[in-house]
Amino acid sequence: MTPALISLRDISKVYRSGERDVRALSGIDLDIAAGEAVCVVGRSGSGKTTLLDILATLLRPSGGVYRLDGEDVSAAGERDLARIRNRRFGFVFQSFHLLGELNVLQNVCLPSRYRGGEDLKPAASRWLEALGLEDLCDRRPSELSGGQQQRVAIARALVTNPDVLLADEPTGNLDSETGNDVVRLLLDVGRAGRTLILVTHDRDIAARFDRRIELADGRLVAA
Amino acid sequence: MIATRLPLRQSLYVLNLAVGMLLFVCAFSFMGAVTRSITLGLDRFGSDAIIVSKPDAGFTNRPDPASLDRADVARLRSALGDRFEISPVARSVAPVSAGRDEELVTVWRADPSLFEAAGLEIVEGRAFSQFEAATRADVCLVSADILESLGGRNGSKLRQISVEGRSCRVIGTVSSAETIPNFTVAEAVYLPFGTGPRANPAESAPVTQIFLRDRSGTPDAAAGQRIRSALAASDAGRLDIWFASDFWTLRTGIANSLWLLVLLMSCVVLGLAALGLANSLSLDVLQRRGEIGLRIALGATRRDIFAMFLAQGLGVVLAGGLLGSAAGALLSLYVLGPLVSGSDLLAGGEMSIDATTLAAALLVLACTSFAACFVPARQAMKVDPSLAIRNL
Repeated sequence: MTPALISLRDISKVYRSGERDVRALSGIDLDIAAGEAVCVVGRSGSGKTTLLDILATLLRPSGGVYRLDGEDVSAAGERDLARIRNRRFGFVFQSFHLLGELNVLQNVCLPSRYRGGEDLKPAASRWLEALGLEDLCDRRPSELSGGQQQRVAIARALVTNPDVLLADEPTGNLDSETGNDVVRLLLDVGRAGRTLILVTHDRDIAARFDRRIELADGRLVAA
Repeated sequence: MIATRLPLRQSLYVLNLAVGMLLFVCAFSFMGAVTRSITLGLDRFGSDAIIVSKPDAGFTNRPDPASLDRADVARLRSALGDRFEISPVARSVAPVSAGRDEELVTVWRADPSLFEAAGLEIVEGRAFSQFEAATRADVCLVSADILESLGGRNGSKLRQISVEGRSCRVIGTVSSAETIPNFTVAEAVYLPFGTGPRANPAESAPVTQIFLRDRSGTPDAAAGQRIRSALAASDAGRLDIWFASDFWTLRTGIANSLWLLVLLMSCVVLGLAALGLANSLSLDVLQRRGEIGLRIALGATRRDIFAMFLAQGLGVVLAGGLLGSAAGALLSLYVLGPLVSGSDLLAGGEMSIDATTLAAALLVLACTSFAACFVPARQAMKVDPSLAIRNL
């Protein structure tokens, strides 16, 4: 059996809301192998995004153990987590999150600032070409369509050659045709050997994934 | 898409800081000129002078209960001996014209010794001779400023003017520099001391001030007592007796108060600019929470985020500080400088940019601005990336 790249054991997350605690996740046990394409589904408020944020190390779990490639990251320091996010994860967000003051190429190369100024331009150019954006390098995000902006965001996520691609509702701001193109693109990237974890509430998109994880009220109901 | 860094607002705060710094530099340069002018004036006046003055001092021509007359001058000469050079002065306000327009001008009747004793420079021509003074000749000297106001424009010289209806030949021009308070004025005409008023030319004008210079050096308090004793008959406790050191004390006190005021106002201006910057940066942090979340997701540490906002704020400060300093220096040297140089009130007070003052101003700016940038930068590093990305 392939050893798990991501391993969650009894993960929980509790938020403090005024005087009371709100349990967002509870008793999550999950293994995801390298190269797997996983879709996380569930209703609004089921804990999908919280789970994704914990996987992305943007949130620390309140309890449990999170191992990435065998390394316990739930207790790692701030600097180590930043390095992990920069080197091992790529992020695609619903709202693209491109910086309006930078052009397309600069946006794609943004992670270079947090890896010692490494020159990412060759890799960025390759990905922009692969995604059909080579003619838009000097454009500002505001000059692009939603689909083009999301493809720029995917190029930014892939430019560091990450092990895991995390996508949070990547089709949420796109029309269905463009959304389908983006999902196809992400699945293609996943088939090329990367682990893909995509969060969505769209059952049609989820149906295209081999593995679906379903959350309800902060608990795994199908893994 | 994440919003831009709002360059317009940043530019406004660069401008705000630049204006603060400009005011700072100009105010300090101006105060430097004031101090230099005061020092120069008092240096020219010397430390060996005493002025006995009626409280009214001839400003209004109104009768004053305290009197000074020629007999007082004689009493002083008798009491003080040769140790003091004594120059009586009669000051009044009188109509003066150069043919067409008539103006009310301060008229000084004085001995020839006054010009040197009071530190008044004769920039053209000569002072009265002893003969002219003794014979009450119809000659006069005029201050440099009166040349223009009475029609001596375009380099032409006044040769004859009418003082209180009496025609006087202009034999020299006196610098308009004020050496001591209430003793010289910008626009003035100087006549020989014995020259009488228009109504009764044979009668001498009333003495308003007596100028004394201690030939042996700086006069002591005992000299003041001897002067007051000699003038007891006229004094009645109302005459002002000013030592040169009193002027120093008065002027330096005024200058120090002005310095303090300027310093406080400059600090308030810079403080407000820094507060505005802090406000702007805090708003910027709020508006860029999504960007902060993104950068953390891409591998930035909280320290990177802190440094980014601090650098951004200090960039604004640096730009504003340098822009304001440069503009302030140019304004001080090339706009205010000529105005100050041409001013009678600040004669000799050249505007210059003092490197120490500039460095101190930049240091104040750096300290206040660092504090202003530090708080928003701390706010930025505390942003929860998970929430920030989700809420965008």
